Amino acid sequence: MKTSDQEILTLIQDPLSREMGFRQLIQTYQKKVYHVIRRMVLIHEDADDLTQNTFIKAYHHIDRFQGHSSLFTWLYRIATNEALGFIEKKKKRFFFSIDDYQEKLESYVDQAGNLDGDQIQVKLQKALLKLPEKQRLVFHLKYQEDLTYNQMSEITGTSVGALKASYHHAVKKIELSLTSE
Amino acid sequence: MNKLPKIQEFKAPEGYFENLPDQIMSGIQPKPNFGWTKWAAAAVLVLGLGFWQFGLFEPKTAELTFEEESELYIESQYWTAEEILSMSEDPNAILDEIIQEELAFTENIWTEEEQTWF
Repeated sequence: MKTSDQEILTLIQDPLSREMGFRQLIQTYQKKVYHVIRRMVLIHEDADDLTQNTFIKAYHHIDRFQGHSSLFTWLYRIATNEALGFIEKKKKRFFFSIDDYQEKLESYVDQAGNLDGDQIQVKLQKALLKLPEKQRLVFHLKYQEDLTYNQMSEITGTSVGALKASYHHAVKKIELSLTSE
Repeated sequence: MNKLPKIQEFKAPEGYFENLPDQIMSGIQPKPNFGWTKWAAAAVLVLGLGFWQFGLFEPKTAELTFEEESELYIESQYWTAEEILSMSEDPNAILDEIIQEELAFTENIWTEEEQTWF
């Protein structure tokens, strides 16, 4: 565990400095947590809600944190759970709704300004959206965040072998998607 | 792997991270405990009992309440699920409630088999 994590946890454990410690935890990890969620849900307003939920859950369950992993992998586990649960809920809701969540995300990618009009980025984001959510998450954790498979295994609770295979499939699908268009 | 370009991050609105800790902390702070609410509740209870004692409440009519009437329409399948949702002020809240009740998997999404990762 990093020293800063230790300092944050020490502050949180003392009732007198608990709030200050938690504020420090938010300031340290807010950008990482926000971006891991934003990559999955794309829309800022959704990412904002889920980021806040992640930290609120962390606050209520911080006493259960054993320190066997880093605070960052523990927070990522909560954040990715929030994001995947949110997407699953949106897809189930589509049963009653006219708007398709997938289409909504694709049109968000198309909107001018969101990706500075970079056509390669638009194609790449659309290729990513075609992946199953968990595979997309594995791809981001490895390709964007450059996490080790062991860290990813801690976050997802999935074996290293399964994660390697998942990442390999994701890369192949993205390459195929980019070359076929 | 070199064939794939670096993925551009979606940007957060300007100033977002400066305000986020305050927003989160305000969501965490326990709600103020209004000591007077229990006295107000007790007063309402005493007044209610008083009105009941002196028979000031109107006797119940045999008419159905809106809720009972709605249930009757639903049970007789006169109204469909879509119609009921369209009548609601906040259909999303109803759907969220149904999903929460029916889908326990959202509590722990990682317990699914590893095959789902492919």
